[in-house]
Amino acid sequence: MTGSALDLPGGRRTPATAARSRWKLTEREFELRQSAAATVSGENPWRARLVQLRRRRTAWWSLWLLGLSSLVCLFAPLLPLPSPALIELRAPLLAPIAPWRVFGTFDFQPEYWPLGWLDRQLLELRQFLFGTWQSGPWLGTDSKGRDLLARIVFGGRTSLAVALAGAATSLVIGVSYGVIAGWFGGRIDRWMMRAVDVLQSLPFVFLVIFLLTVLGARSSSARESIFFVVIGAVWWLSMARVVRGTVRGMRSAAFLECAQVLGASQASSLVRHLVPNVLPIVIVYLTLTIPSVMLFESFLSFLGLGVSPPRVSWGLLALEGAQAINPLAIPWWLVLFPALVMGLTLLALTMLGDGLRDVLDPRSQARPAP
Amino acid sequence: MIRAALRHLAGLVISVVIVLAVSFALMHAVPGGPFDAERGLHPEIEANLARAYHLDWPVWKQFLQYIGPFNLGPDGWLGTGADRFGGVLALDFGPSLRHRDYDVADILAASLPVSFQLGALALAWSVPLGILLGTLAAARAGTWLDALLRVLTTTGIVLPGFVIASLSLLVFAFAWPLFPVAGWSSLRHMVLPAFALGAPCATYVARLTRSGVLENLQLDFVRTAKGKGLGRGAVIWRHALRSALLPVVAYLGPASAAILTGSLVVEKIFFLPGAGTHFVNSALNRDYTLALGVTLVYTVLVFCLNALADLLASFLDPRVGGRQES
Repeated sequence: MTGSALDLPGGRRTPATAARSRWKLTEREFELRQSAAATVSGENPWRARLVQLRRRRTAWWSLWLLGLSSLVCLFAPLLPLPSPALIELRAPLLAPIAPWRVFGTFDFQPEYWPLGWLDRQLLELRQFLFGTWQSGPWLGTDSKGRDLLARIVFGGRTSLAVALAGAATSLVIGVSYGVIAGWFGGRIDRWMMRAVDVLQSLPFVFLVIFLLTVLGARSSSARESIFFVVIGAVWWLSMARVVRGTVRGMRSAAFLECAQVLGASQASSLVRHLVPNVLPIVIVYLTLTIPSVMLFESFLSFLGLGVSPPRVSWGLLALEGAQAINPLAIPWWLVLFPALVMGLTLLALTMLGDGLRDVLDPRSQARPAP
Repeated sequence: MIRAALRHLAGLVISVVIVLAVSFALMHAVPGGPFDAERGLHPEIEANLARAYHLDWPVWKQFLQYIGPFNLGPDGWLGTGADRFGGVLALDFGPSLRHRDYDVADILAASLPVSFQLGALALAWSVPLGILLGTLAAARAGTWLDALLRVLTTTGIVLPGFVIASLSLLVFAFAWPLFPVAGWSSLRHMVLPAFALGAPCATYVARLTRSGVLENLQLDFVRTAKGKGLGRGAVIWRHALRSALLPVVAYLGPASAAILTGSLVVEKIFFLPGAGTHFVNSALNRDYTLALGVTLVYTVLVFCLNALADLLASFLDPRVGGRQES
């Protein structure tokens, strides 16, 4: 990657760009010096990182897009959407109808799967605010008369929840494994990393599906919790590797030795010095883990092994879309819109992850994301 | 080189044994057998079934019998009564619990060729095309061609395989009926599945190649080649591309694993009679032996392919040889 690829469009002459061109620095070198200067002068390094992230337009816009869509997903029961679970078999398969032709109707019926406490409150508030008004079939309906827009929003909720839960599990396992291996080093490290190597070359998808075969026939809620844990337990490998590398690099760092000579205990140096150094990399890998967990959930749901029917997820929507097409009717919207939403979300997550990696992990090379 | 191969082999043996032991233990630890679904079985029938599948033996004995050609007869250790079941080491995974009168080995023998054909076809078009496109993008870096290819590769990486498959089905089989919708008999049937399966791989290879070639174009040996008076084409295709292929070779292992995984959904969408379809169905109707059989075969396969790609990469690049410390 050359520096010119990272240049800003436009070419505004700010003091910073002037300094950059005077010292003939590439954007990357300039940023590294900037953050070094921020650290030396005792400023909060996260401020400089935020500024750098903002300068990467795609990453910044992805962050906004993701924030907005997660808010929509979180407050889905509050929005005046039709019920995503109400089945009307006699209703015809409706193609998308533009909002300016049918903006909304007044036949909302609150039918959902068992909702949690917060969702019930939100739903009541919605009924208080909007009554029985609901939005029209802007994205069409599926073969069972359910509104596609509502299903996409509620499906996004599931996908997001799975992604976050899985990422959290991978965070806990990966970080503790990596810190232990990196901190103790020596033989422990060697064996732990050998285990990671072996695990990495296993075809995990097959093992997980086998696991779901054996464990998954109990109740559907038990199945879903197993599912979360299993997903997270699979994705900790690269996190462990990266954290271990960072911790190992730090073990020999002079400032840690200084701290110990000055009488800091092992535990306090762990907390005071390790956490701020490991945190950026953990954030980067967390952002890169979320899309792959999301993808995996939709993959399993597509195969019929993930989220089970009254509930909905994006993978399930893709499955329904694929099953709905036949030579007589081609409901293209059932395939296209879920694909579009999923693609956009994954794209935004990947872009954000790339941007964060540039900012938070300056030593990494700009490589294509996996 | 030989040491590396031995290390891979040791890893394979260890992980297969672990996978076997854990999955076997899980199958037995979970309450409820595979026959639970059929309600109201007479206790005597149940006992008969248990005896037929040796479920009445102690677990360790069942495990030994499952693994190896020990030929544990009905009357004890290495008994005289010949048992049809030869164990995993003899490539016998036992009878399928749902497909009556079929052994897992029979099902695998019928379905694995389809999956392998599909996977080989997908790899065969996607890797060369990915290399070609990646090199083109690097050679024309910064032009509209590069931008177009970047959009294409990003799409291919971001969209899941099953979405690509259903979109291509929608466009090329229904809206514009070029290819058949399902089935597996002629080459025309194979086009769409192989395309959908190979697309993510092609885009990843293209990205790898592009960044590798771009990196090489700035190195000294390329400058030397240019200085010798070689044309631009020769410099890129003969010199810059060659060492950029190393990461691609190393990626072939994970790529084949990804293709095997992707074939689960592609086979489902196109109704292909491959091992992936059987695996998914066995997971849905709790056919333990079939699921475990496919898992084992694919574990060994993926392990071997990974090891092969690693060895090939270290053979091509002497720097990679020996142990890698990160």
